[in-house]
Amino acid sequence: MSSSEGPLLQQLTRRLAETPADMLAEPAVGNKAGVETGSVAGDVLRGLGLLNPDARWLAGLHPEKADKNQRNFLRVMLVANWLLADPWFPGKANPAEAQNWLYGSSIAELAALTTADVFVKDDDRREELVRLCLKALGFVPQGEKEVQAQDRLESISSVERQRVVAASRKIQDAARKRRAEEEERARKVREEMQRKAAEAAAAKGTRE
Amino acid sequence: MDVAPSPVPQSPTLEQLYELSPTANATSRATIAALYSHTSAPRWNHPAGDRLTFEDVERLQEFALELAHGRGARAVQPDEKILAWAEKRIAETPLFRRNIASDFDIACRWDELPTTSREDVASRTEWLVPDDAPLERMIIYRTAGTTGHALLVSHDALAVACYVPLLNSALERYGVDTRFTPEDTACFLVGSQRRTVTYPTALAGWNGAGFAKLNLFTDEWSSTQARQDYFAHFAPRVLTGDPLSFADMLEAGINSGSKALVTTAVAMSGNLKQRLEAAYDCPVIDWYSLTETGPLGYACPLGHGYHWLPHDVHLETLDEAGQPTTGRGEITVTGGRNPFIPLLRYRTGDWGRIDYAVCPCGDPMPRLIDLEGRAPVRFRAGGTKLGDWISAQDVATVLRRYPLVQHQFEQSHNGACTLTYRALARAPWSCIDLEAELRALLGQPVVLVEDAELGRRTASDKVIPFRSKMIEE
Repeated sequence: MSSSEGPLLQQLTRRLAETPADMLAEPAVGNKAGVETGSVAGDVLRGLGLLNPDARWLAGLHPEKADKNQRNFLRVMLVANWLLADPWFPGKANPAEAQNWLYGSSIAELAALTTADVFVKDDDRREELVRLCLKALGFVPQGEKEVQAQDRLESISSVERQRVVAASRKIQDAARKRRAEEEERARKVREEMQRKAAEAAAAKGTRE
Repeated sequence: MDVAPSPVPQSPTLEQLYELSPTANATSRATIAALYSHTSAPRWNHPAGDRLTFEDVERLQEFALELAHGRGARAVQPDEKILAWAEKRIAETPLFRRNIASDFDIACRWDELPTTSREDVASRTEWLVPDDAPLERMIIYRTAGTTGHALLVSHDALAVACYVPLLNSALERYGVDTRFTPEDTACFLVGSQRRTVTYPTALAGWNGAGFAKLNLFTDEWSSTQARQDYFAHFAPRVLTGDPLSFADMLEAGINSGSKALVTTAVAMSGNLKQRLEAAYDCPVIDWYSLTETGPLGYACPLGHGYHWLPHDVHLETLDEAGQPTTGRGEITVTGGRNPFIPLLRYRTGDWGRIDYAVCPCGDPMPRLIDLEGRAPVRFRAGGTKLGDWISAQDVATVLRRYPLVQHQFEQSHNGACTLTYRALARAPWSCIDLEAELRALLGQPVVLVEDAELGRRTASDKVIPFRSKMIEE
């Protein structure tokens, strides 16, 4: 499929940089109040011209329970919706493809690696999200050839891979250090127990 | 872990006893001295005291106030305070960090939270000690308990001292006055064993009143008359002990004019309870407490089970599959005060059910019903029905010196004794020495059977640690 010319990349990355705090707030989960991710996604898709967004999927964006990772997924979903709500898209983007992008694995994969805030604060991550969005909707940034756009996206992704590797190494180093500290502490506890076992305990009023 | 040495028995000096009661004032010291050196006093064999600092005493008073105001109706699910406590302990405790994901939502998924048991205390206790636990305060108790695990239990003097307000709370439900002066003798803890530690002291939790741990075994006293005189002279307001010791006390005709008998450690028969109540003209209060958990319950004055006692623990019952049940299940504890063993869904090995209905006695806390207590056990020396009684505690005293993770000691119908055990891996010890010690105690050979799977064949790890088929006949 050949791609059409999209908006200026900077127009969309600036939009992400200016994401309002409301869109980064905690999502509604169970009885806990928060941003209704499903309502936001439904409004955005209808704004793009989709008559009947997938209701079951939208309802699933307000889960009964959510751990930290699931909450981050919902927050990344909100940021992606904020991007799709840019005035450039209505009338140009295919709303069904927009729903497919949100509905597919792309957002979940991004959320598994990166917290939502980073897609707002970090230059590379903003660019990555914009390029992924445009690619999913069949556009290339204004002024770029399709090959250029693809190369740049891969480059951004390789940066991401490196970041993940570095982060993983950091986590492993921290875990190793923590294990060593725990071993040392356990050794001290064993020694203390041996020493104290030979001493008198405190008077206790009752038997057990 | 290597075999931990036991404290060496030593006759304490008065100075040692004073040092171990750092907050005792002149009057309390005089009370200790009176208990120590009375002409009828037994031979003391152990220095002990409450070891509390003045700061500890302040905290103990705060605990007593929190207990008085914090007891009330409870729900099946843990309250906010317990959840906050559990969250903090999970973050600080190596064993929990390994088994529980850092983003585990304990409020939403409490029922999925992994449980702990005596197996963890027996085999992995060093991983249960939180990062922030003050090791310099650690003291050690030894116990065999209900599941046959031989345990070294790390504890803290302040956490142990909290037993007194808990005991007071139960005593007050029976109308016993728990206000003491340092001149009073508050309590005697009575045992009846061949060997057990004995000492006199004063406890700050009882306002510095006197307390003594005593052994009724006659070798400890200059005469049986001296034993009777000692009890009569000091007249402790409360006696704590176990049913077998109280039965021996009754048989020996000892009376102390006490206002309550608190019986712990093993289940008491209704018949013995009635005889004790009649003989001593005071309530006999059954008490549910484990070394690892501290006191958990006391018998309802109206006989409606055991009231959940501490305000700062959460109790639940789990079925054989480890799932919460409203029916009969394993009593499982979260919370408490011991800084060295944070109890997180700790399975006690005891079974019962929890009744949340309002109790007519007026205590608002729920009740443990159908609590499966520990039956009292004694053995016949020499394997004959005329042999001397040997208590299970005496056998436990021998077993504690060896690195046994779990054990089951049984005397058969014909008097033969067998010890089945699971030993701690890689710990050096001699089964010949153990057999020799048991033979000396029981006056007969004991068959030792190693079983690496002992206690691992059931979901609850439960093994009956002591059993006598001679008695059950």
